[in-house]
Order: sequence, then structure tokens, then C-alpha cells
Amino acid sequence: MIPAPLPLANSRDVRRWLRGVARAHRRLFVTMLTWFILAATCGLAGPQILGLIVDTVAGETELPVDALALAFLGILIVQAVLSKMAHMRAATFGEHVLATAREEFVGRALAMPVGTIEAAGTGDLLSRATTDVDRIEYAARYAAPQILTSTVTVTLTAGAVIATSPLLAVGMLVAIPVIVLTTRWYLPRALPVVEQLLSGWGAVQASTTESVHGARTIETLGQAARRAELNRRAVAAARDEEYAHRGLLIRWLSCLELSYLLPVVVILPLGGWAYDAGHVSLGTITTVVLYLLAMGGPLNELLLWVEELQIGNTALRRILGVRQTPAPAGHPDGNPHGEDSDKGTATAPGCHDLLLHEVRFSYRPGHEVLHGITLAVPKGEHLAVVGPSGSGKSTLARLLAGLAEPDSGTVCIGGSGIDGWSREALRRELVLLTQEHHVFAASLRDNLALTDRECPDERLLAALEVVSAGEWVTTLPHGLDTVLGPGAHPVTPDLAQRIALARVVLADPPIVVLDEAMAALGNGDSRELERSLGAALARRTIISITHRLATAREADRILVLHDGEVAELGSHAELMAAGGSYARLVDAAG
Amino acid sequence: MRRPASSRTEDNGRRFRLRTPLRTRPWLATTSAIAGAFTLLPGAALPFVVGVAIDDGIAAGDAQTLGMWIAVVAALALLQACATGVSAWASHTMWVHGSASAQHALVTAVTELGADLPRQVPTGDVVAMGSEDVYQTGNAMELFGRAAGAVITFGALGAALITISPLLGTVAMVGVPLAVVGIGPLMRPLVRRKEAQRERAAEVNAMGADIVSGLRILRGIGGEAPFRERFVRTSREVLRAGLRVGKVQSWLASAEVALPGLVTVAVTWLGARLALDGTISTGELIAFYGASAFLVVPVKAATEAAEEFASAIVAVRKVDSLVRRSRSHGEPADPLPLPPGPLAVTDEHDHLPAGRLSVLPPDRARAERLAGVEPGAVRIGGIDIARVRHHELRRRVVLVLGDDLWFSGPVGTELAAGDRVDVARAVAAADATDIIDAFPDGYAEIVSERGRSVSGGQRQRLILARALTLDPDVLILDEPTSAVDAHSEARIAERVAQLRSGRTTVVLTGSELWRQAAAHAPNAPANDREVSR
Repeated sequence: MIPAPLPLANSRDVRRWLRGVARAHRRLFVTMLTWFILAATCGLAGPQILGLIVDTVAGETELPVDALALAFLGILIVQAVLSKMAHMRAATFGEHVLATAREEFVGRALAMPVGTIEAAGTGDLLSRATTDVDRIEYAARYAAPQILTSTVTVTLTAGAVIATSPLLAVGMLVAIPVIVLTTRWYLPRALPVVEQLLSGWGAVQASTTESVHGARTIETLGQAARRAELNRRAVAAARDEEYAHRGLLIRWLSCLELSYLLPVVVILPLGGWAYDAGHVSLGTITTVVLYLLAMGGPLNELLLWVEELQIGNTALRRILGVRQTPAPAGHPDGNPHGEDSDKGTATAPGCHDLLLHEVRFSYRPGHEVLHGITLAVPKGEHLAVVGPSGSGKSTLARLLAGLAEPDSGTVCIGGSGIDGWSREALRRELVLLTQEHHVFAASLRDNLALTDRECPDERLLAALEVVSAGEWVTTLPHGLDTVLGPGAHPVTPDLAQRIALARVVLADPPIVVLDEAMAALGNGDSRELERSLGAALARRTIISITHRLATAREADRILVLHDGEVAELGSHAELMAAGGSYARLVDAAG
Repeated sequence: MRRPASSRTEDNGRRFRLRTPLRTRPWLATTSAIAGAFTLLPGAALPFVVGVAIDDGIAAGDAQTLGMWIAVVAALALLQACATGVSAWASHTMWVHGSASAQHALVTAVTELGADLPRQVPTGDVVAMGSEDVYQTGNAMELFGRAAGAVITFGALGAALITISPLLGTVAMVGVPLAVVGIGPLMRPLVRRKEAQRERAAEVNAMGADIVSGLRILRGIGGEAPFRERFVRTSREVLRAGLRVGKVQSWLASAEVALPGLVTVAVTWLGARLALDGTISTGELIAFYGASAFLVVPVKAATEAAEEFASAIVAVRKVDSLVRRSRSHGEPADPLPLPPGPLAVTDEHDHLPAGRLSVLPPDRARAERLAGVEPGAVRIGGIDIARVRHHELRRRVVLVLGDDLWFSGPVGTELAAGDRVDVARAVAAADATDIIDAFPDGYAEIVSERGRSVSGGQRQRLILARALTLDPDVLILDEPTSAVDAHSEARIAERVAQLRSGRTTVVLTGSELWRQAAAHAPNAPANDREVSR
């Protein structure tokens, strides 16, 4: 299987997407910005008022000091109210961005072609759904409002310095090259390191979680020392990444700290000269210096959060990347809502005969797995597929279910090639059940009635009866409405498999492909289950891939697959009489 | 009771406390505190220096004095830059050191407890310790230097202000901490509401992860629409809860502006009157204004650190409670060593001879008793299993169960659980060579957690190969080939019998193929091969 990683959105797509969300909430966005700017403007009053007081004390102006203090108080109250309004809108906007991102992500994931999921592996998608969603939440809830406040404050403060004294404002310029150069040096170096160290700590956490879950295995294999050592190594790797980041960080932070105070060093002599020359008053110098001292805090905040925002940006690129998964030709399930409409030949034919003609398949060029399989399975037949591991059994199942397309040859149901079918039409016709089972963290009812939410209780209970889980339901605290899953009501692998089988019974497709679907059950249980399943799915075509000879024996016909070719095909009696590999195997197993 | 000499969760003498990481690196803690103080002190001194520079230099028109004070400002800037670097280095190192120490204590406790862990503590709690509490320890360590520096700066600044003007100094020193600390209790109910919303948000994210995990089922059978509807409904609820929290939380932003601001207004007003009286100079007025604005920084740092320490203490207690646990069955009071060489295994039903492959009917509980994981009347090499030291037993007797965990990582590394049998030989005996060959990266292929990326039959063969590399004196296998096809099973039984000749192997299975392999196995006498170590 060649892994094909899911795509990443580029930065332009991210910006376009954010603009789209901003446009959808235009009024909110504009008022938010307005309040932020007005609040920051109020924050500039302090140094101005102190400057006026200094001039009054120096006797340059005559202003009532008490009135100035009262005005200061009034402005402070207005600033506090404006900050509240601005932050409330920022939170609202942030929540809308998050809701839109997660809903689009899940909607798109649900419409993703199965082949794409298979090729990328669920792991990548899962880490986008968890780690990356967490990261953008952090960026939207904490980083974005901070950055907004700081940006507005820094910009307005700089503007205020210029307005107060264009002459003294020249002194600010010395800070700019230091900040720009060091930040441009730091960010491109730090981001990959930060990504590395986040994944490093992710690995530490995964290793710890595994050690906890596998504590018994660690003991029975006598691996305590080795696991502890592996964990120590994972921590050491993460620590090295941390140290690499630390090296970059301390240089950058020191330079930034210097750059905040440099302008003061320049402005004091400049102010001394300008005061002597009569260009500025003492109050003006005071105001400017206080502005500069006040600017250091928000500037530092801004620069520190930029890194967080960059991480959020990377996460958002991964999340939005899911929107770009291609819908393969012939599988028109790429529309954003996943509601496939039946197209062309997609209507299920009345005849359900399954036909494979000269089917060849390879995962990698030059490594053919199936070498021209020709097979006819009439409607209602129970066919067992056996053969050694790697003989191509599961690949055959994937081709039948349309999860992969043959390199050459055709798979037909009822005389029409399935390559032209929509996903929706194909799964009405055929359901593939593998040994990979998932119980959703939802009620038992929602877990069973995936397609038909109106499904009456009697049908659900009957399906559970077929998979011998009828008794189990009666032990559940809320019956069908019991919420399952690790946090609520845990389900054993055995029951998970039964639930998966019950889903198939309820879906009731004309063709069922079982790929080792009962591997988690004991030998006796699985035989009993197969019988009741066979009864429930009577007159349906069943193709069961199995390693259990006892299961194969009960099928109408047995297909023995060997190195991607049909070695034998016939009923149990016929194959035993033929004395081929199947017969030898049955004899060996006694 | 298997080990009568034991008492439940006896104290093993190990502890993990918040001061543990501080004590192991005392110089780091000291450096971090001193550097923390020097990142703040220059900023605190600056308003005074600027005030004097304006008073004595600019206003007095004394260029030489001005020059001197400018030099002082430059020196302060340099000092602050250096201190920032050192402090960032120290606090970063403290974080790593704290997190790594807690992590190490946790994993050591987990591996030591082994099979006892799930019996003593819910595994979910331990997983949460590894993902939260460990880093909480690091956070507390990281803030240690800043907090210590903040306290030093606050004291120094306070002394300076009170010397200049006792009245103004007192207003600033009492007002600022009141304003900052006052935000805390005022906002506590809001913080609680925020946490509740965060939990809801975590729920919707878990739901997204759940849908993604079951995506193949939804795409295979159907049911996308109801699941999407359910997700959107929950997502909208989280959105609405988020808006409510945002509304209340914006008060916090407002209070952070208003409360310290009130102190600054008060200081400015009082200071202006004192300056008009001539009690303080213009420069001192500027110093007071700047200092009261600056005071917020150390006070906030100290408050944040106090909150962080409070939650770190809770986190550290949790880790400590795990670290202190011992196995419920301690070591035997009068242990006996196992004899060297192959070992016979005897329980109430059977005597399984040393150095042979024996096949028993499938019985998981019996397998656990035979390996001494569960108590039972079992003798190993003639010795009562209850009197064998735990570490010796685990070294000599290995048990493989059907639901053993496959650890993630490069498959070659994970297979090499032991080094007594070459990995390639063990893989061949478990008929797993084709699995490795099929991986694009061979032995370097990363097999994901629990072996999810391979099929059940493949996982079973890898788990068997992993145990074979240990080459233990006694290997107990419970249903080792239940998910493997008959062709492979026949090969595995034959090859394992051959590889293990001269060693005791017990297979609990219903399979006839293993029985035949046992019957045809070379009945090598125990002294045929070199067995002593």
C-alpha cells in the first residue's frame, strides 16, 4: 500500500478562508476593530496628562491639576468599557472561526473518498482532528486577541509619539532595524524547531500512554527496564529539541529587550538639545519617554505571540488541507456535503450476480498482487476464500468493495462495471466488513441504525439477537439508549465485532463481503455466529474471507487463492476428492 | 495469598515532591531567581533615572550630568538584555528539568507496577498524569525564577518609593497589589464557567476524532448525514457556550485595565499636588507615575506564579501517590533461587517436562497462573513459584497473551525485546518474514500504536516473534496463532518447536497443528545444548 499523505492548504488559501469568515461576520469584525482602536487611544491619555501636569508644575502652563486628574479618571473608565466591548467581540469572532473550521473539517472528512482515507491512513486525519484543532483553538482564543490588542496599542503609541513631537519621534527609528532583523533571523529558524519539539513531546506522551496501557505486557515480557529506557530516550530527544529552541530564543529575546530601551538612550540627548534650543517643552519630553517605556510591554507581547500564531497558521493549513482532497473520477462523492446523487448507470440493477473478469492489481508498479482473477459468484451463493497470508485475499475484497480499482479487467455486478457506480449506489448493493471495528461514542441505537434513524426498536433488537448480543442489551443500564465508548460504557472487542455484524444485518445489502470479520471471536462463538448470520442473510450473496477451515467447510463453494491466482475452486466435497492443497491442509489440521 | 510476606501498597520509600527537581539542580534554581530579579530591576530603576536625567540634566541644562545619566540608561539596557537572556535560559531549562523529572518518576512507577497497575489505579488517571500533571510540574519550575525575581523587585522598588515620599510610596505599594490580587477572586466564578465551556469544547473535539476514527465504517455502510448533524448540533452548542463565556470574560479584560489604572490615577493626582507644593520634584513625579505603572509587572508575575504553584502542588501530589505505590504482592520473605538450565513446570493437573514443547487446551487463566502473573499452586524447576523473586521470575518465564500490546515505533526496534535470539531468526520462526518484506521501509517501518496498521494475523505473528527474541527458559503462549491461516500456523508450529528445542515451551491452544508439531519435535534432552548463563 503506497501511503499518499493528505494535502496541506497554502498560506494564501488560509488568508482567503479567514477573509471569507470575516466577510460573513462583517459587522462584528468592523465593530471589534473600532472598539480596539478607541480603547487603545484612551490608553494614550496617561502620558499626555502627566506631560500637562509637568508643564504646570514647571510653570509653563496654568491648568487645574484636580480637573486633569478627574479627566484622567473619566478616560480610564471609558477605556475599560471599550476594552470590554472589544474583547467580547473578539471572543465572538474567534468562536465563529473555530466553529466554521471544525464543522467544515468534519463535513469534508465525511465526504472524503474511502480510497483517500485508506491511502492516507486514519492517523493523519485523526491528528488533524485533535492536535491541530487544539492548536487553532489556542491561537484563536488566546493569541489572536492578544496580538490584536498589542498591534493596535503599538501602532497608536508610535502614532502618538509622532503627533506629540515629530522631532523626538526620530529617536524611535533606532529600534526598528534591531527588531526587524532579529525577528527575521529568529522566526524561520524557530518554527521548524518548535514543530519538532511539539512532535517530540507528542512522542513522549504516546510512549507514556502506551506504557500505561501495556503495563501488563511490559511485565509478562520482562521489559520494565527497556521500556523505561525507551521513554527516557524519547524525553531526551524532546529535551534536545527544547535546548535547540532555547538557544535561538535567548538570543532573540535579549536583542528585543535591548531594542525597547535604545530609543530612550537616543531621545534623552536629543531632548536635551531640543529643550535648550526651545523646540520642545519638558512636558513633551516626559510624554515621549513615557510612551516609549509603555511601548516595550505590548511590543514584547506581540512578538512572543507571533510564534504562537504561526503554529496556529500551520495547524489551520493542515485542517483546511482536508478540503482539497481530490474526488477521484468515476466516484462522484467529492461534493462538499457527501450526499451522493445517483448518476448514470448508478441505479442498482435487479440482478445481483457478481462477476470478475481477468482482474489484475498491484499496489506498487512491478509488484502485481493479483494475476488475472476470473470468477463468477451467482446471487445467493456463500463463497469462502482461503489461502495463505499474502495470497491476495484482502486485496480481492477491497476490489470488490470498490476501494481500489483493478489495473486491468473488470468487476461487474448484475452485468454493469462498478467503476461507474457512485459510492452510495455501490454500498446499497455491497457491504464490506473487515476485522477493524469501531464503536462510536454514541448510544447503542445510533451505533446500529447508521443509515436509518427511524429504525424501529424491534428491528434493532432482532439484529442484536442474530449476533447473539440480545442478552447483553438487557444488561445495559439504559438499553438501546446506553451511550457506549471508553468514557461511558466500554465495549469489549468481542462485542464491538458483534455490533459491526449487526450493522450489516440492518443494512441488509444483497452482497456481503466479510474479511476475517470474526477474528476477535473464539472458535466456537464464531461458528455459532456464522450460522445465525447465514440464516439472517439467507438468499444474500456472502463472500467470507477466513483463515478458519471450519468456516470454509460450511460454504457452498471454496476458493483457494495462492500467490494471487485461483488455485482451486469447488465445494468442500469436491476439493477433498481432488486431493489438492485444500485437502492436505484439512488433513493436517485434523 | 501467593506471597504471604507482603502487605498491600507498602511504602517503597520513593517520593516525588515539588522540591525534588529544585533540590537536584540547586544552582539552576539560584541562577533563575537572580536572573529573574535582574530582568525586572532595570525596568523598575528606569523611571527614576529618566526622572533625574530630566530634572538635573535637561531642565538644569547640564550637559555633563545628562551624559552621565544617559550612560546609566544605556548600562541598564544592557544589563536588562543580558539578564533576559540568562533568565530565559534558566527558566526554559527549569521547565524541561521539571517536566522530565516528573515524567521519569511516572514512567518508572508505571513499569515497576506492571500488571499491578490496572488493578490499583484507573489507567485513564495515569494517562492524564502523563499528559497534564507532568507538564504542570514543569510550569511551576519555569515560573520559579520569575516569581522570586518579582518578589525581590517589589521589595526594592517599594523601599525606593517610600524613601522618596512615604505617602505616595504607601499608596503605590498597597494599591497595586490590591488591584492585581483583587482581580482574582472577582473573576473566580467566571473562570469556573470558562472551564465548563472548555470541557464542552473538548467534547466536540472528541466527537470529531471519534467520527474520523470510524470514518471507514460510515463511508462503507452509510450514516454520514446523522453523524454530521449531531456534530454540527454539538458544535453550535459549544459556540453558544463560548459566546456566553466571551461575554463574561471580557469583564476580565476590562478589570485588568481599570483596577491598576485607578492606582495610577490616584498616584498621579496625589503626586501632582505634592509637586505643586514643592514636596517632590518633577522628576520624582515622573518616577512615581512610571513606577506605579511598572509595579503591575512584578505583582502580576507573582500572582500568576502563585496560581501556577497551587495547581502544580495538586499535580505533584497525584504523581507522588503513584510513585509511592508498591506491588500488592511484595517480594517473598524467604526467596529461593531457580535452578540453572531448562525448567519443568508443574501445576495441579500436569507436569510439563523441562526443555520440551507441551500443548495444553486453551485456558487463559491457567496460562496466567503458570507464568506466576496470577497466584496458583505452580512449581517451576521444582520451586514453589511464590518463593521466586519477582525479577528472576520475569527474566526466566515469559508469557504471551492474545491481547498483548504492540508498542509503536520502528518494527525492528520493537521486535528486539531481547538479544538472545537474532531478530531475523525469530521473525522467520513466527513466519513473519513476508510482513517485513512487504513494508516499504523493512525493519525501519513505523508500526503504529497497538499495531493498528497491520492485520490481526500479522500482529499475532509479530507479537510471537518479539517474545522469541527473549529466548526465555520457559515460554508460555496462549492461543498464539488464533488469527493466522492454517498454512502459516503449520509452519509456525514446526519452526517454533525447532527454535525452542532444549527450552521449555507451553502452548495453550485448540489447534491440532501445534499438537502434531509437539509430537514430531526433536525430543532433545536438556543437557544437549548449552543452557547455563
